[in-house]
Amino acid sequence: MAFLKATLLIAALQVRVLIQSIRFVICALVALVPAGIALAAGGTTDTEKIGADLSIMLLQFAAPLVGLILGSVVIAEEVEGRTITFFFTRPLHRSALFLGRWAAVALVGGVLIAVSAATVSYGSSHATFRDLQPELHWELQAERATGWKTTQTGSQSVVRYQDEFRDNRRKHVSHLEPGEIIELPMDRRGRPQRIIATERKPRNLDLPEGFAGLLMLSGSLGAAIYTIITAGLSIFVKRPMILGLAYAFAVEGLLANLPGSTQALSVQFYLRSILIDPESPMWNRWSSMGSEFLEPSQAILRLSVFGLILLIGCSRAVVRKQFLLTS
Amino acid sequence: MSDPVLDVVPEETSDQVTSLIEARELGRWYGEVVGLSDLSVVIQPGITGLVGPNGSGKSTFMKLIVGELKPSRGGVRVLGHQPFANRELYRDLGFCPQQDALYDHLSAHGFLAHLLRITGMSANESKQRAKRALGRVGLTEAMHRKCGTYSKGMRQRVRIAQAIAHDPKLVIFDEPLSGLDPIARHQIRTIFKEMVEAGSSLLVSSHVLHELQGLTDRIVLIHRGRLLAQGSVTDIRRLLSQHPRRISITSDAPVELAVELMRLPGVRATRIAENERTLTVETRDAQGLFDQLPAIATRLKAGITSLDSDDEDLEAVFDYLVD
Repeated sequence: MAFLKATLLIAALQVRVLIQSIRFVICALVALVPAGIALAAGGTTDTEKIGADLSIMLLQFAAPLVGLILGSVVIAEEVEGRTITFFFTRPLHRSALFLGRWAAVALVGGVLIAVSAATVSYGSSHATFRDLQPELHWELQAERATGWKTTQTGSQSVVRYQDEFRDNRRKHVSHLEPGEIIELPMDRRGRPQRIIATERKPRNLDLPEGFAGLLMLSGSLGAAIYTIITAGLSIFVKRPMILGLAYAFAVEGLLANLPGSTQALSVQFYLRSILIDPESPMWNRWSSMGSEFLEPSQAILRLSVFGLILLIGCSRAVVRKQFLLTS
Repeated sequence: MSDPVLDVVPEETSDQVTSLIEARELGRWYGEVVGLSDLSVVIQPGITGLVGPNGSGKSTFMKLIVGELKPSRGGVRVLGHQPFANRELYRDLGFCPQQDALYDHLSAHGFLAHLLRITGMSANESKQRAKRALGRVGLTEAMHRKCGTYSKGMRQRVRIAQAIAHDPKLVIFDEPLSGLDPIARHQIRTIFKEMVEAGSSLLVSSHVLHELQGLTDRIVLIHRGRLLAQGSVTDIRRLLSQHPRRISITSDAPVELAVELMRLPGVRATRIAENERTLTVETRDAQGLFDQLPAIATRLKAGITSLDSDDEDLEAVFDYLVD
């Protein structure tokens, strides 16, 4: 209990220190990138496409970078600043110090990414500089007439179409309301032709149900995992950020984006497994990369176990490790 | 390397149970660089000065004592504990590191309260203790300012405050007086004395012997990672006084002064610098020279405008002792 209490206390204090730091501002700016793009560009193009692209950007760019920046707070910052002595010469279990500080950065990083994910989700589907009022669409119910279109001028609409002999025809109608039917002249065989006005939202305005929650979950989990990786690296090397960046963006970038089973060696694979629904056309591009994604629950479980093993290993290592500080 | 010049390193006896620090054949190296080599020493309660030139192994010894490093060979016990990552020991141990490292975005009070709080003290007690410790080092008025705005001396005092805030039995100070102005030095020395009167013991390192004079009568001299001598300040100073020292004198009559000084016992050489006003005297009896100099200068009307001693050049002294 004393260990847990110490860990929680360190975490709480570290959160307070962290949110006043420049590092936090930098992380917030990084997390803001996909969110900002979503707010600026969302709705101006295909919602599902921009939603998918920004989600992958969040998972592959923002979450690792935030994780790497914050992860180095746990040990590396103290070693570089030569302040770790103040902690390591206190009646405090080193593991509690490591876990408490990690919990703080994971929480802060997770919240930042979750907020960004929620904004990406909202922005992709709603935010726009374009008027997204529902539009009227017309459905032609005719066997032969083709190439029709309507234009609306004031209270008048003009329906233009080509009949079965490719003759251009037009019909003036009054202002259309949803459900209104425009009866066209019968075709030459006496079959009725009509256009039905329907109200329809722009295509793909809504992202798949549960998308926002899954994106928040995968992004936050990703940030937390990357904080462990950096914190762990910082126990063994002096410049963990460099190695962390190389791992996250070179190694993982390659592993996660090359078709094949090697994807399963990257954190990104599991994050994508949580988010991507292979059945959804939204993810056609990503689900056709040659690797079968896991069930979200399986991905969460495996990533959590991986993170837990890393945490335990790091906690044990930090107890045994000697940190050489130069004066 | 010779044996310690002052043979006062105690043998293992039953009274070592009361010793604060006991190092036996202690060695620590960094790759091929030797930081500490075969150091055996026992340090008793009270104030002990750890003296040695820069790079002599003082900081390495202290890092081994506070458990920041593990020995490469031999061992050290502090208050009866193996020090590395030993939480029991840290309840009774304070450490003031040499490096000028603080959290610049935190106030001194916030920093100390934070350190105390994470070791299990209540928020209120942490704040009270932080306030008291900062008051003891004379930082009451500035304690809510961010550390980044502090002078070098103030930063040093914050580090001292964090070392004493939890009232430890033993406090290790690595060059605590370095960078402090005379008033602050006096203040810190007063704190040290108060701490000892209150029952704490201190190990204070310095590369300048006279900094520790008046503070303690117990000195441990180390050089090149080994124990060179251990004894009283008087013993050490007597030992050091046998080493030829260079004294620079700026005078209006350097030639006449050089001739007169050469007649003094202990003076081995004199040399006049290119500016023709600065005279360098090498002597084995610096005190004798200082005693005679005023009378000689008056008689010669030598017009002495400055007098510098290389007393702080411990490196040279240690080399002399080792050779």
